[in-house]
Amino acid sequence: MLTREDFTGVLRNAIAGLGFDQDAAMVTFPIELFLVDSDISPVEARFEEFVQGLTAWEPAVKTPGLVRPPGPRVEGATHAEAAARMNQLFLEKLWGDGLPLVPPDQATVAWVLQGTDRDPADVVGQVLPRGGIATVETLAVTLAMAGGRPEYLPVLIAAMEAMLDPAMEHDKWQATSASTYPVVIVNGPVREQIRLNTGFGLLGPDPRHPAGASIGRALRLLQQNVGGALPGTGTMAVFGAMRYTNAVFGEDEEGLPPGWAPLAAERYGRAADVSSVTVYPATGATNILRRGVGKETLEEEARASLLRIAGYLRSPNAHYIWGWSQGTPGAVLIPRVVARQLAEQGWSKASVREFLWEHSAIPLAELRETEIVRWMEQSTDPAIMAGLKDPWPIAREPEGILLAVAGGGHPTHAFWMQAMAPAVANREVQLPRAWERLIAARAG
Amino acid sequence: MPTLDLYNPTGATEITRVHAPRLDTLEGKTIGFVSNDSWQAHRTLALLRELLQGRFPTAKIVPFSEFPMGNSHIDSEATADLVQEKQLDAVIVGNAA
Repeated sequence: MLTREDFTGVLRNAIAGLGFDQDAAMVTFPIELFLVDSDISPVEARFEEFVQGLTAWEPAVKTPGLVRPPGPRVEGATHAEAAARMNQLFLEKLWGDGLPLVPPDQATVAWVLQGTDRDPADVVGQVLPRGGIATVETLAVTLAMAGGRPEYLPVLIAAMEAMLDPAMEHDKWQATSASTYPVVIVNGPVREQIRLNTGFGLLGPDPRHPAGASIGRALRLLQQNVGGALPGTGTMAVFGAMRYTNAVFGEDEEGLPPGWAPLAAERYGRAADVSSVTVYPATGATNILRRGVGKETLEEEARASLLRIAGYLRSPNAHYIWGWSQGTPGAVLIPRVVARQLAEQGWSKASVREFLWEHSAIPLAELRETEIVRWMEQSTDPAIMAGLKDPWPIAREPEGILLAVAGGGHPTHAFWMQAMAPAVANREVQLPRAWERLIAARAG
Repeated sequence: MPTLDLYNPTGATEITRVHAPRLDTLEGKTIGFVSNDSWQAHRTLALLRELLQGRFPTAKIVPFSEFPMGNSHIDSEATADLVQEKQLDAVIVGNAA
């Protein structure tokens, strides 16, 4: 394998994800070799290494089997000292995120496991590219580390199941150079039961609504520790995005105008009393000042604000290609005050999406000038080139754009989280039999 | 002395495949190139082909043009089947950057 020096972590993960041990015969070079018009003479200078790779290289593991790494033991003069040593150790082992972790000891993990009736050994899935096997216990361990509570576990399990849906192709956005992060939009009663935020500051931090932070942090730690998405080696995310806690929040269902259905209901037919998560990988987060100065009519402001939002969507973003047919170009969030104003003027979620879809289409000349068309030509989705028109819509249909009512009760801003999403996945949140007792026991 | 017995957060891994044994020599062998058509692979793999043919004149080299090219295309069972169909003894894959 001919590869870049700092890319070997990605390759080792990919190889492990295929079922091999984390190694292969590689010849590595610095990034300069791989650039346009580069000097490739180093390939000739190191030709012998390629020959050795085919004739003499030896793998470390030569027999198949399950590898279960043991957990560490840490001691200290006091519990606090032991916990401090644990945090230092976890950083050295690259298991942390730089913030303090809660020690995942037997008692803490057993406490978190109260959040599910599932067997701890149940396999939730294999997290790529590394291919680590995430069990219910693995998720409880990680949620414990992230400072989570047992009542958060059902949402974490559902979010991980959604993330691992084969259509999501999570291996690609785990390892990509794009700075992706999973967005988890929660619908149903569980939002209030576990104190997920749907209003002001819903992307965090918010001490009154801590669930989203712990669940999102656990998800990120799972991506890293089980899936191998370590910055610079397992994931090539150039900037990292908001990866500490990802984005986990609830839709403001209580703020939906009459006739505006919750996201999970309109896309997946979920009933009001069923809790579920809708998950997709985002690559950005943009605040949009949508409000007028207050001297226009409501209709003028509504149209102008939607045009303004559409302007943010209308960007030569090559990532739209991946989600064009089956996924999404991203999610728009609008607060309840805005949703109600729009609804009173006759707008529905569908008509808002239709408007945004129509007015975010990108002129073909711009797609050619920015070489986006070349990316389209490389796509394995035949619908991309077949659907090429002027202007080009950012999704095959308006329904591709996710629209949720969320955020504080203030009309000034909307929010756009663009995507690199071949699919959007939804999973029901499965609650334990003792759920009512569990949420009654929560502090505060 | 307080002791913390901790879980390992990395989950288990299952090794289901082992790497193919190495060749004793490249003379007389059939060696293929599979390209993701990215990061100057059209230059580096072409150079390697030339070097291999020069060093091992009895080797049969199957160029990357005889396989699908591009990340999405080579990541397929079809490409793997074609590699087997051409009875390659070894494959060099590039470029991963």
